[in-house]
Amino acid sequence: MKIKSILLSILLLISLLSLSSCFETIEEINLNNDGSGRMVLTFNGSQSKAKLASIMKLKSVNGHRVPSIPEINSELAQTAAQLKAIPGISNVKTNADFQNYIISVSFDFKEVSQINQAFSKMLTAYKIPTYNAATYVYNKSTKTFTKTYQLNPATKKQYNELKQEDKDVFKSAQYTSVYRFQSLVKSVANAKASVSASKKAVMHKTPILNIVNSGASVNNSIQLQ
Amino acid sequence: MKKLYYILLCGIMVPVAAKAQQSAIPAPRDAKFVLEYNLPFIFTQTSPERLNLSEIGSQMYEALLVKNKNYESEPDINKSGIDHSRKAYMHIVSTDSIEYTVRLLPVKNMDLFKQSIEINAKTEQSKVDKGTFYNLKYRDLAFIPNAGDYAVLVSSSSTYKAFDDSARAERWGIEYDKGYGWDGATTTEIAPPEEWDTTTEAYAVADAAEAVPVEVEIAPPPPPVVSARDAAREAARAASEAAEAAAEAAAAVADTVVYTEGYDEDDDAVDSAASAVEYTYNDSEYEAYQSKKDSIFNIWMKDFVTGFVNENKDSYSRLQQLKDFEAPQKNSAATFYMNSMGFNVRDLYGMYGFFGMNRYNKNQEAVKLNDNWSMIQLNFATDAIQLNATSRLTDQMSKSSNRIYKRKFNKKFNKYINSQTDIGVMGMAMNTKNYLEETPVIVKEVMSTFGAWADESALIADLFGIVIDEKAIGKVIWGDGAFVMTNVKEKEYQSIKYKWDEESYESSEEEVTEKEMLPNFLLMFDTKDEAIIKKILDFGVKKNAYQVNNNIYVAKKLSGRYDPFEYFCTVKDGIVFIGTELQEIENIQKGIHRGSVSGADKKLMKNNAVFGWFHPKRLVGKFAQSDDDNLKMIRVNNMLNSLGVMQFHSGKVKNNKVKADFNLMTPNSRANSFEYLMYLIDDLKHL
Repeated sequence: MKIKSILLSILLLISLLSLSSCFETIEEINLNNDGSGRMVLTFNGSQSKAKLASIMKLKSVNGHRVPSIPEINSELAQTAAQLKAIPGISNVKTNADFQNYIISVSFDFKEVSQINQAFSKMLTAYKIPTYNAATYVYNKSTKTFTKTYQLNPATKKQYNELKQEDKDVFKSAQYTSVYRFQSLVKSVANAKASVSASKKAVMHKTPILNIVNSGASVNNSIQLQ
Repeated sequence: MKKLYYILLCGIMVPVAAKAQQSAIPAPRDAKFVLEYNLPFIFTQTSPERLNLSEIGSQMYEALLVKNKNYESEPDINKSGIDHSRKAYMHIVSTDSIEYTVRLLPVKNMDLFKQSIEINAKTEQSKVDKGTFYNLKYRDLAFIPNAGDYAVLVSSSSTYKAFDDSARAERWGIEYDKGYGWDGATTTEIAPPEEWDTTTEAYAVADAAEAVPVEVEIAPPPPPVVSARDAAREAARAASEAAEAAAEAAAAVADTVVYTEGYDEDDDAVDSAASAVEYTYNDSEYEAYQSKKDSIFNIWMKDFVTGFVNENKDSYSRLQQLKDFEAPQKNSAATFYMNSMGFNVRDLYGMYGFFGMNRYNKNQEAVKLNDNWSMIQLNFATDAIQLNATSRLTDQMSKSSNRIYKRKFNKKFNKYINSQTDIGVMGMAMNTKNYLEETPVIVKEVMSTFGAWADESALIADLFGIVIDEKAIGKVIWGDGAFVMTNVKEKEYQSIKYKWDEESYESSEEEVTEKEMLPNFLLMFDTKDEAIIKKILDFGVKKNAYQVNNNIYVAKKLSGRYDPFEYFCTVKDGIVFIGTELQEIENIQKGIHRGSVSGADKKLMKNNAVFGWFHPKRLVGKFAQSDDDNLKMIRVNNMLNSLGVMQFHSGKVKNNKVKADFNLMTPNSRANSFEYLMYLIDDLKHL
């Protein structure tokens, strides 16, 4: 027993000394002209999987409890059940790959507004204030897809109050959004976003810290032809 | 001589007497925690100015000595008013309803000291025979004797259960269910304190809301028991009524507050009016309830302080009376005592109960506590910082412990431990058979202390003894072993990156080789039954958990879960080896020894049941460089480089006492281990 705790302590020391982690979150929406579509949310921690695998052997790190694999799977199952309960949302799939530390949630929606409901429900379930959710709007008549995220001062304050070692986790973290459409893209409001060669998809990559510092950096309004 | 000793002993409750009695600890025997701050020693190692400059130094000084700090600008230790040539003390005493934290502080400059704890002309005070009580912020209390050369600061905590006992609540005029403002206001009388006696002075308490100070006359000292009780009852009633009146007045004032700045009546008129009605009502009742409770706590605290200021009562025993008591060493900067006698049922079960066990025990039920105590000293030698722990055990625990550790560390392990290259080593010499035999005995002993489930635990312990074959298990795992952190090496692994098609932004997965610095381990333990170990491993091979090659068993990776480590196992010369590096295990199989143990380490192994050491310097430069955080990497390496060898060891129980020591050797460049530790912690905080 003592040997085990020594081993775990050393792993903790190693994980703490090994500087910042690296992960990315990817948000993909395939939007049909009628406003229906599919959303895929992915967390990719495979670049730090050696570190994550070490941390998963511990009960807590930096004072935060480390969930076990069954706990993560259970949370994902609950998330899926909550999403399925939203009218208009179907084909909900979750996947947790602990070989590569990639976790994803995907679902079909009939209306873009259902994405907002889904986020609201998920954040409430995880006791995260709903003001942290972005808002998605698709106007069928004007063929405009809009994502709006208003950074709440409370969110920024919470981040600033984190310990330095917790902040370091976000240092190299990336956020990527990809929106694919059936129609051609006419214009994109966010200058940092790029349009694919086919002109049917828009991608935006940014460090997560940019979102913490300025939520508006992920805002976009995409006009389709 | 006996008389002289008694006189000296009577005086040790106050630091002024402690000056003449440096080794005495002015704390009651039933204190559960006691801390001694050896200020004279600390200030031979550093100066107030240097302590001020150190972040941890000044923080510790403030937190431990002057709880209610009130420095106008930057904290200045020189302005605390505390006498650094005398020791300071803190102790925590827990009753069945409340916990007192008491600081005994030697004072050199009373004016400065009063300023530092915010005592001024407006502070509510009450004079008694031997000094003056001051009601401080946050319900804290200060007592300053007439001589003015020391001070007592008392705070109370864990008061949440103070009135759970309905009889006590009734005696003190508290209606628990009124506490949250659910019902209308209550009018109750405060009865006298339950342990009021002839030696206790009566105090009137005017613990009203801060904004509305209420003056209450102090009752005269109590001559006979009956009149003292009456005086106390009257005083307490006056305090209660004053508190209620003050709370009502405060609520009335609150109702008339008008917000003029940045307030838009049109926006919020209806909502704010509604909430004002709801909250004002509840708040005032809650405040009155809290105020009443605070008045009672104040009475209790004053009674408590009076108790040990007038401590010539026969019942007032002292820490020195603990069985086999040990006084702190001269070079101990701080000494911490933990005393089993000071704990009660609530302490043992915790706030909400340990797995609900407190449902079966009333808080008032006595715990069968023993004379056990523990002491941890923070000592500063010329070449090391030392944490020296001593625990006193019961006769039975001592006997069990000595049976468990009745074994010497196998010298064969020395072939696989290298003092020159290994980063860390932990070893243990235990007798597994004796351990299994003693486990039921220890369980019974511990559970009998809790007073709960004694019969059940005794039965389970006996069943354990029947089911377990101590002798057979003791042969398989003999009981001595070592865990070695051999090195840190770079390891490769494959990660997934998403590749985005430029045409459609569709993604595809791409495998990328990453590198990470990971430690390697070697675990070894003795066995006298190699055959059964091999049988277990071969069973694992049959079940596809391992594969075997040249007597080296390789654990197969669990499907669906990445593990950065590989595990190899082999058995050689009665030792089972488990390691994370194939080369090491292959060498062991071939009979190539990696060991080289220094004389000092051999001595440590020979003389102790548990031991270990760690070389932080050997980790310098071992961690991956990060392009975006080179400065942090430099800081980490500098910190590791400045750390000396860490060493710990614990031996057998002697005279019912077991000792455990942790040493951090100071680098040769550092002459003063106290200041070295201070600056080291400062550096760690900013890593």
